[in-house]
Amino acid sequence: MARRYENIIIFFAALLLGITLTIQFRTAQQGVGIITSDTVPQLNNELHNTKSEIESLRQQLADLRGRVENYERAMNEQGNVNEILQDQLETVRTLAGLTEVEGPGIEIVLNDSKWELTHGNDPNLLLVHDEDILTVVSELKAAGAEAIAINGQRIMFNSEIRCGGPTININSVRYAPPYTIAAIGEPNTLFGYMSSAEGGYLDLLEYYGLEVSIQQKESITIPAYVRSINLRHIKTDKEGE
Amino acid sequence: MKTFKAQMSIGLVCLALGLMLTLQFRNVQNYGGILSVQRAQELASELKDIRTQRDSLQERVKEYESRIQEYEESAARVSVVAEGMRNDLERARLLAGLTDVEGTGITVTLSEVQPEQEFNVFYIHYDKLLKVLNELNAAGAEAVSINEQRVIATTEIRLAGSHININYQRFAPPFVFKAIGDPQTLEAALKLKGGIAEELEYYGISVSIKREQEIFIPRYGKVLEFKYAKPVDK
Repeated sequence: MARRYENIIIFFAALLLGITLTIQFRTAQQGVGIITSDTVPQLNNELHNTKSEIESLRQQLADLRGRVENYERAMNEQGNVNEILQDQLETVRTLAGLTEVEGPGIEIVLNDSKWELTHGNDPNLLLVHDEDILTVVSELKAAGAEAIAINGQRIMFNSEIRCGGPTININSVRYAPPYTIAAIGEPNTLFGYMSSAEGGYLDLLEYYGLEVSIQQKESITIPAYVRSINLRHIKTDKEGE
Repeated sequence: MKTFKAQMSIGLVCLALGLMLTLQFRNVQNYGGILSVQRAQELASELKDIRTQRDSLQERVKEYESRIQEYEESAARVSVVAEGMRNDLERARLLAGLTDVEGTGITVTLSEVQPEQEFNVFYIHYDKLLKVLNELNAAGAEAVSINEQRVIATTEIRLAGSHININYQRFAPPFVFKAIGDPQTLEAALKLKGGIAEELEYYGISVSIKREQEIFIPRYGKVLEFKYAKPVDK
């Protein structure tokens, strides 16, 4: 009798073991590579990104079609494409920040705190830092700002905003507070991002005692980038081929 | 003796069973289980489909671009004026981030050292990325991309929910910076004593920097146009 019991127990145990093993292997197999808990959000991000790539490729395609038509028409009608080249040049120079631009937007002024420095307090808390300006600029970009300047210095693709003692270097030029940040874009959107109900970044700075002012403007002029940009380490893809 | 043998074997089987069960449960806990696996599979196959779609669109875009390039080149061949404009245009496109570029530089990979917490807390905040980019720019980077997103004058780096937006695309760690410039200067700028690399490591972010003889940085992938900023006629 004891023997029977044992056999039955072993049988069930073996059955369970078999089932578990199978599940284990199948789970491991199904995952292409390793399925981690990050995979689903990661895939979701990639899906979103690829969809938005497709969207912008469609736009590019429409844009390119129009341009090819323009070139064809110009060749037929004028025999050259100089006018189109000139237009293109103006457009791309503007996108690169090489022209003075004008449009609606907002102006933000940041200044060091006027609070008295009480004994034992960290004076750093009362100053405008490079990180504050970096974040404000990034938020403005997220809100769709098309052109940004700080104290008249145009922000380019490679502009640094960096503390150098009591001053801040922007495009290798030194500036002292107050910092006036001008941005061209949809004024309401820009304003909303900077001072939103959920607590925009400027609200935070104000909370820490910095002097912050923000103003919507119908028209702002932002100067062109005037220094020369030396690209010594880039070889364009075409030369490489 | 017989009973002892039988007990031993039962004991062994139970041990194996226990181990398997534990493994199974841990698997389910760590990896989200069968449901999540299925969801991931669905997403993966959808992703495969739309990637094919994207690739074919890319081909067509390239076709049109090469036609435009032909027009520009043939114009430059017959006219000095057109040649000058075309060269200026190439340079402006480069600065605007509208061309693919290659050159010497570094790649910087920021990844989260697997935190002991069960849920993935975002250690790499957007402000850390802004700082790294800022240091690279200060060290003379001529072109930068983050996870293949070209950094142009309007590129934002912003926390949006559970991911970070860069050029309005969504990313989560790890973040890979590519920067073209002098490799030594770029690396030194990050590794400065008390600099950004040290700061990141302090916050539990691993920083790996690699000098490269040849890196490729893609152009800005979206249509770039200004609606509000208009050039001022002089």
